[in-house]
This record gives sequence, structure tokens and C-alpha cells, in this order.
Amino acid sequence: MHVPGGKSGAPSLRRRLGRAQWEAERDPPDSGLKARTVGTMVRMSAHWHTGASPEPAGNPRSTDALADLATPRDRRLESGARDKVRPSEPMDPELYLACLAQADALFAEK
Amino acid sequence: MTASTVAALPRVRVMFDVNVYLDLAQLFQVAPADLSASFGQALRRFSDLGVYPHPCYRDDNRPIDSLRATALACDLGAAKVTATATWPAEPGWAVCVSDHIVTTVLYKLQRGDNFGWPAAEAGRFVRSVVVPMTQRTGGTYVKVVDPLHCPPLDREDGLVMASAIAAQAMLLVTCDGPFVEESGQLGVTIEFCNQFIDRVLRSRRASDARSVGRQLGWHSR
Repeated sequence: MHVPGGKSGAPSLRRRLGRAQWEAERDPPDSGLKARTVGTMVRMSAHWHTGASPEPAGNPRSTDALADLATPRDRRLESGARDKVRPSEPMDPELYLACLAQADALFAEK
Repeated sequence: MTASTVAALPRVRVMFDVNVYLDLAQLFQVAPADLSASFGQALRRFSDLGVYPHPCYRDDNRPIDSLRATALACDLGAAKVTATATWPAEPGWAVCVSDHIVTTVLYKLQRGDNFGWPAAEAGRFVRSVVVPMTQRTGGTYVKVVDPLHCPPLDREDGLVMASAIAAQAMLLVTCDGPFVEESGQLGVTIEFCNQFIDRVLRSRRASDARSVGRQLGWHSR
């Protein structure tokens, strides 16, 4: 016999609502805490490859340090720079075309 | 899984960004006498799984991660690269490249920082490393003209993204931090080399565990 909210495997609606409320209180939508946490993980991952400093100096829980935790992408979003094309490294067009021909030739030969 | 089943399954297409090939070139720069032999030795050495996560996440280990990622992707014994819940069981990886990626590799080997190789040496690197990787794994060489997702990507990354989509690659492996940051917006999974290595090793371990379980009768299939 199925008992609502009983040991049926899935958590009850009341329990899920309670958890959602608890999460909303813990991470209010305007705090940006979750986004910063994900951004921090991405930044840490990037650190492994770039050698950049993984953590800001000082107490990471302080307000200033949390502001520093904003990822570069967040900063681009704030500044509106996301819609602009990032400049590429300039290349010599003649050499590029020569390399393109060389690449085609290398993959054409068996 | 029988050999015929393995042969029937398509390989998962993966594409490596320009910087991964430049890392390989940086490693092989120390012994350019016989690139082909050194690549084979490196593949054998580094595809022996070793310890993961890498003991030191330092910038100077980045080329090693690139080498390990390419070695795992090229491993002919990759029939065990089966999967987790998200990735269907596949017999291995097919390394795809595009004309833009190969051209940029050739260009940067001649003009880039830390290189300045003659054109013949750059061509020899591509002939000895990039071409065999593609042919050995059954990958494709695609041609692209216009960049995609530019902006937010710059033109070079946009062309790499266009290459991945043209080659129908499920995965794009790079060392470029901003490129990975944008990956959520672009519809193609972009990973760092260490994440790719982790994915392959995790799926191999899962596959090994399943096969042991089958042998012991723990799993019906």
C-alpha cells in the first residue's frame, strides 16, 4: 500500500518544498553566490593550466574577496564587453596562405 | 563485447585545439631527430595510465597533460573507452582536424613564440604527428571558412568551433581558459586536457569494474 510521503523512494512534496525554501534562504537569488562558486571552480581549473593565482589574498569570505572571486566572464558581462569580438593575434596573410596550401598537401598525400 | 561488436560501433569524434598540438611540438622540440619514433615512444610511455590526478598542477606540466590526452585518444587498445551514463559505450576516439587548425599549427611553429622552426621542420612535425593521429584513429580532415560564435569568441577560436561542428566532434579539448569558460553557451563540450584524461580514465575504470563484475556473475549484462 502506498503511503503519501512514506518510504516510497522519492522524497515527499513537503520535504522537497522544505528543501527548496531552505536553499532559497541560503542562496538568495540576488546574492550571486552560486554563480561565484561555479566561477571559482572554473577559475581554479584555469589556474592549473595558466599558473595564475588560484585564490585572492586575504580572507576569502570577506566581502572584498568575494567581489574578487567574480570570474573574468562575469566581469565581461558586467562591462558589456561580451558582445565585442576579442581581437585575434595578427597573422601574416602570405605565410598563412602558404601554410594553408602546405596543410592541404600534407593531408592529401597518403 | 565481441570484436565484431567493437568494430561495428562508431568512434567518438574528438578535436584538439591548436595549443594542444603546440604543446606536443614543445615536447618533441627537445628531440626532433626522429619525431615519429619519439611520438610512438611517448605514446607508449604516457598511455600506461600512470597516476591521476597529476601530482603537480603547474604550468610546466601542461604539455605533459596535452601529451597524455592525445596519447589516450590515439591508444589503439582503446576498446575499453566505454562509458558512463552520459556517454554511450564506444570503442574509442577518432581525432579530427581542420585545415584551420593544421594551418595555424604550421604558422605558429614558424612564427610563434618559443618556436621559429623552418617550414620544412614544421611540415615534418605535422606529417609525423598530426597526420598519423588522424589516420590511425579514423578521424577526418575538414575545411572551414567562416568562424562560429564570434562574438563572444575571437576569430581564431570561432574557426576552431566551426571546425568541431563541421567534423561533428562531440568533444573539443583545449588549453585555452577563456574558451572553456564560454563552453556553456556554445553547444559543444569543451574541456581542458586534464578533464579529458579524467573522463577517459574514469570510463576505463568503470568498464573494467563492469567486466570484472560480469566475470564474477554480479551483473547479468
